[in-house]
Amino acid sequence: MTAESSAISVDNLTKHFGDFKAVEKLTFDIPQNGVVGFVGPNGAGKSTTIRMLLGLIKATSGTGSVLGHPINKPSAFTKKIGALIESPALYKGLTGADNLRLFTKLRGLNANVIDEVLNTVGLYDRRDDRVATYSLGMKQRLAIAISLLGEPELLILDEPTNGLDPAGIIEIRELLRKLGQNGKTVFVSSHLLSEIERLVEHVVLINDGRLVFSGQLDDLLLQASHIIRVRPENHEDISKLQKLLGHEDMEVEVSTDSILIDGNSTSSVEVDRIAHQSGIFLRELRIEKETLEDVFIRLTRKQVTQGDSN
Amino acid sequence: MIGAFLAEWVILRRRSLILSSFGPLLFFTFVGTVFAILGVDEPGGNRGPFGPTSGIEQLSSAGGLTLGLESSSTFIGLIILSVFAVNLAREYSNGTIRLLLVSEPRRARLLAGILLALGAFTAIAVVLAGILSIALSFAMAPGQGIPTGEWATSDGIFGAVATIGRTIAATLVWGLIGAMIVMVTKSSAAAIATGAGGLLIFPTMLRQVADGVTDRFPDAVLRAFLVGGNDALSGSTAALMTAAYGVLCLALLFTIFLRRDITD
Repeated sequence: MTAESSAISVDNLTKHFGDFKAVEKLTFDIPQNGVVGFVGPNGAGKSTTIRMLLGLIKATSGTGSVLGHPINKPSAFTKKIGALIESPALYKGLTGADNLRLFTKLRGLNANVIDEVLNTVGLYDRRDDRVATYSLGMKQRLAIAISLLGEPELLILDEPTNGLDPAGIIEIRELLRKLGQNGKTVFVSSHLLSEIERLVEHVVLINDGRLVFSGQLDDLLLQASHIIRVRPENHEDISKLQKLLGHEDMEVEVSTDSILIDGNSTSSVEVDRIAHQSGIFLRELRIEKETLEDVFIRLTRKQVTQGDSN
Repeated sequence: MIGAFLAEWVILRRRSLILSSFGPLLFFTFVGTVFAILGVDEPGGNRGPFGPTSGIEQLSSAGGLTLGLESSSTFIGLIILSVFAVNLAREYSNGTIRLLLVSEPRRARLLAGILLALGAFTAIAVVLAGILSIALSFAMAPGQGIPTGEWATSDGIFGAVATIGRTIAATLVWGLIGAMIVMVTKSSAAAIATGAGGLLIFPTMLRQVADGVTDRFPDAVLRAFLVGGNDALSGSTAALMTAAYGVLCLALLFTIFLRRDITD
């Protein structure tokens, strides 16, 4: 993938605020079309990266491009993108329609696109109500409607589901999925990994301002380990079984009421045999696959360990 | 820039903003004009921030028609300073500055458009204040025995138009001072406090202990410019200094806005 064919491309992008390293030598490319997740915990540097992409803050060093145009010339790509940055920033004293009208005037667009985007986000019926009367979910949807003005090729959405209830999250997820299917590139940041896992095909993981992974979500999940969860019928048998499994050189961890065993180096049949031979009856024996969240935690732990050893 | 101007206008035409800015502005113009006309019996009297009162000779002259507007100018300036400050600070506190810049990343054009819209708002406000003051002066003058013959001459009319023009210019500098303080502090409260306290109250206090020191302070310069010069500053010096204050504010505004990271 070249910078020209990428929707977004950054190369050694760095931002320091004084001594604080918000983003450190970040390098990744994301393809055009579809939904791409930009994932990391709070404070990972997602918003700072997005602000650099949009020309709101200047990079300390490194380069980047959006739709083939350098990020230090945002006027070259601004008409092709739409953005929502962190919390929905809106004019609460204006109506939903007037908020959109303001941005159509600023972008030199025809006002008839207002009803179109209001319909897309399901806010047409509330168009003439002041934004101050909107729920958080409605404000998020209005902010997305603003980002949709002018039929942008690329949407950059920073935490669009922040503060929403489960129903609101599902609503936004479906909306983003629909936009991705309609040929747009949606670059969506979130600290909710489980949410991103259900939505994206491509993912960029960052932590402490550094890249952890960039690529297809499927490739990342292939790295997911298996865990065998064992729950004895009698709680007292947990420590006994833990010792027995330990003697067999298995990697064992005890959680509140069960034992977790690394499933990549051990078979569940072997675990069942050891328990059975020792007269331990099992209430549960289950093979679990790591979630994106588990993989992320494992990878970031590895990154910290590598950083320490360096 | 036109896009930014029209976009800002969507905000400025809100009824609540018009009522909260035009209301006090017209009220203080009303009070200033009433004080000016009623003060005819005690020329040289001190009306505090409304300035000294004028005698019948001055009031009945061609320039007397807009003495009420002139005496309200400091209040009009402070109100416009607040309008500039609140509008600009809100973009930072609401975070809407981010969206504005994503839609119009050419920062100089965006700021110029916003300032032009605020300038147009100011001009409309001052023209309305001028019309109110002139109408009130004509209505009250006969009751106070003030001849109005000179007011309706071409000198009187041109003088009134010139005073309204100078009031717009002086008020715009007040607005730019408010915008500049907001750009530095990102706080409308700081701008209004500095405007009212630092530019009005502090010089007044300083004047008690060291007369003449404050002649070149913004309030004194803008007052002198408004009346076409006074004992402390000639008309041309006052005009030059008014322009200098305006240019200085604009330079600081644009320099900070073009360079600053938007982290809000």
